[in-house]
Amino acid sequence: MEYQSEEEQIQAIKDWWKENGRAVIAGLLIGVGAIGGYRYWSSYQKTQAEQASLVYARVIAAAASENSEEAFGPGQQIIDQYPGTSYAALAALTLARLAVEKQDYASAAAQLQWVIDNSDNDGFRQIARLRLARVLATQDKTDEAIAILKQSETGGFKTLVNETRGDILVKSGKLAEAVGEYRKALMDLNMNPQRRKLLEMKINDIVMPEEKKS
Amino acid sequence: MHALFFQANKEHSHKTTMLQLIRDRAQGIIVWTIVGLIIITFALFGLSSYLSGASKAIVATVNGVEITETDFLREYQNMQQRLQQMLGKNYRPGMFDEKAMKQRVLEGLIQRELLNQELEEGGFYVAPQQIASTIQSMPVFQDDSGEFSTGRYRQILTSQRMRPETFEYQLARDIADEHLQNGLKRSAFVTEQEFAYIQQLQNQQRKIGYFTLPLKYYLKNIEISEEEIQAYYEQHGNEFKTPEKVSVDYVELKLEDMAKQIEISDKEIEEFYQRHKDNYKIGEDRRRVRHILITVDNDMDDATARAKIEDIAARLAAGEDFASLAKAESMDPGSAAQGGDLGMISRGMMDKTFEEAAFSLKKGEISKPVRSRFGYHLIRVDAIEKAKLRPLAEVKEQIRKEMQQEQAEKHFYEDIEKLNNLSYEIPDSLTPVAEELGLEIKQSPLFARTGTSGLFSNQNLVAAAFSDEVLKQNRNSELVELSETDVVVMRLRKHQPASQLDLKDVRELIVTQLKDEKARKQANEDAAAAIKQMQAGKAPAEVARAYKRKWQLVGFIGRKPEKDEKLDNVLRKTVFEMPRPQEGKPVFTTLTLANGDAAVAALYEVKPGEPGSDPASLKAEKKQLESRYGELEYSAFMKYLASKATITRNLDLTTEE
Repeated sequence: MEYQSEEEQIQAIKDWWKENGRAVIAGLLIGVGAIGGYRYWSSYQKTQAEQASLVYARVIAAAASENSEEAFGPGQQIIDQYPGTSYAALAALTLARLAVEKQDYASAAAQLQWVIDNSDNDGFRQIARLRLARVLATQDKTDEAIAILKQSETGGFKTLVNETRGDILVKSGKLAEAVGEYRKALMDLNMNPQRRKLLEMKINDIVMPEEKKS
Repeated sequence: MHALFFQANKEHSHKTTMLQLIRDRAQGIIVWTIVGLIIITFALFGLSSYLSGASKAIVATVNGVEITETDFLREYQNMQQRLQQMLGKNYRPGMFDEKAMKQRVLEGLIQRELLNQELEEGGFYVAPQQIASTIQSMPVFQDDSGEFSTGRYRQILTSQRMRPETFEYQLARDIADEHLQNGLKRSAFVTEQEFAYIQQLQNQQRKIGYFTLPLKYYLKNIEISEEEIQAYYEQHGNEFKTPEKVSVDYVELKLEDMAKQIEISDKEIEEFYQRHKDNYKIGEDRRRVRHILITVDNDMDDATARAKIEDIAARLAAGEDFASLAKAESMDPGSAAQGGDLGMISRGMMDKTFEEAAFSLKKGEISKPVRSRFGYHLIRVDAIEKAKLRPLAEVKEQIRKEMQQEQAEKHFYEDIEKLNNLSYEIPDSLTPVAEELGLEIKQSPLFARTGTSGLFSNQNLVAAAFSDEVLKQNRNSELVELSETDVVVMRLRKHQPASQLDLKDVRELIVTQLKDEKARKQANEDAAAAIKQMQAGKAPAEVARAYKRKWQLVGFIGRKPEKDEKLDNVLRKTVFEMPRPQEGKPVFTTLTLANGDAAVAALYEVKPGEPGSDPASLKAEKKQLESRYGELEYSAFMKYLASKATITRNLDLTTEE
């Protein structure tokens, strides 16, 4: 189809508009609505996070004080009231630490599991996994501990995962495998000397006579 | 734009128009896609990203966020300043590898940006109340009574050319950063079991025994033949060399030396002293004053106040007591009760007109009414304290030095220019420049690249002496700066290339070397034979005796030496690396001790360590372990952030300046 004159073109535009005008207007409305919704949502998020930050400041102050017990109340408050914020995950990590101090490993494990299940920050989740694996190992649940570490994303955490896995394997008597994990950890060239020494100490404590000869 | 337009027109005349295309598929996807695109573009980027456009040098990007060269250089300079402050006068420019420093600074900036993005993405908002209370608790913003002062807050920010919003935004970032670090690092733990395991590992005890085969017993019986020496020399001859050495002629232009040569007459010093008397005063002019003030303000106009003060002046003239009048009439709340006494004042403390009057009075004299910006005063001086002038004789040498220094400086930079130009223009001799500037051409001793004592211990000088310019092209060196007031230019005087040493000079060295090698070999062979017998079940004591040595049964040792325990370090380290003995049978190993002696050692038993008994130090140890865990996890977290980010580095580290 070819257009001969200006009028015909204008007519074509009008026709098009008649057919599609509604769709365009609807699109614009939806767009504006989406922007508005997004704005509202982010300001809600911001308020939530700001309120959480106030409570969080009390948690870390209490956790560092003599009466660390006092951190549990506000800590749990953040987790319950502002579960979507990053502060909730950090509060849970802090409460897990306080539970470990009281040797209440079940609560510690629950807090860490909460982070793994609820935080949308992969880095936080990874730290929680490492710590949960150690808590489980302390409770002699070595198989569960190893399973937790299997779900690890590695980037950046590789050395820690290797070392922790080694520790757990020693605990469950799988010494040869443990040495393998420690050796992998030692391949991290940026490791500081103090840590390297401790790792070597761990390895040397479990070398088997057969292995030493080879 | 033009091309596109043209194309569209052409299309129009031939086949379909854009409009047609839209119409044909109007109901479909395209409309929605376009609408969607428009929305997304505005929602994500807004307008701002279209508006910033100035081009700047970028040293790195982190997920698309740019780190500019300006940021980088500022940070780099900050780092240098911090180093300078830390090291004080030990700091020398160039003592740190520039390339490595720049790398560190860049990595630091990248880390900070990563963290910033993480804080942003993680929604680490900080409540306004918290920002406010943090600002209020900062001592810099508090007045003398320790209260927060809004005026002071604004004033300080203004002096830093910073808007409150910017400052508060940065502060919020810092608080969020602290929250994150605190949450990750301080939540690190070590369980009791883990701690116990590490304790038993660190405090582990191992029961050992050993005997040594000292090198000296082997050395005694070793003969080295002439052929062996010859062969060794031929093989390793190029290892025995004298180092390459040079000696240079040089001129040194030093402000200190120039100053010493300048003659200053006593008369000049005297004149200088007279002109700058203020510099040689001890203490300052001070006066003890009293005053009566009649304030001029809304309640009292100038004329009334004036009349009132005249009246008081008249009463004083009639013989009334100044102090009691001040008590009764003065409107200065600070001094009236003390009879108008203001204590000792010095210049610069008071209102200017007040000061002039107070410092022109004689002791005991009362001033005429004086108008300051507060009102009318009557002033009396009760005591005068004059600053003391140090006598000329005492400061004469100091002045002479100052004047010499000052005059020398006038020529010094000019002379540096001359030195630089002349030594460059006439590159094959130092004589012209030495004559022009009246400098002495001095000679250095011969020295190698390691430098020598005295002036040529300076690495810059040594580097210049061995530079191509001096050594190969035989030209004058560039200006070498020893300090801001001390420069040197040199040229080659003598070059002594590296040369191989004669056999007779190194014969002793070779003999020692060969003897040592043989002795070690024999000792190791004996050790290897000995360990075989022990492993076969022969008692270690008996084996040792066969080598005329004694088996040392040391007993239990720890990883670290006890106070008076003297055990070879290598031996200690080795036995802690040995595998555990199985079924009560000792494990043996051979080793070479720190002093070169061979040894055979046995590990009998491994005993888990006892935890330390001091609760305080146990607690501290656990804390330390926990914070180490925290640091490890945090740095893993940062590495993880870096691993999922797109980072480009664009810092050219090869070009300097």
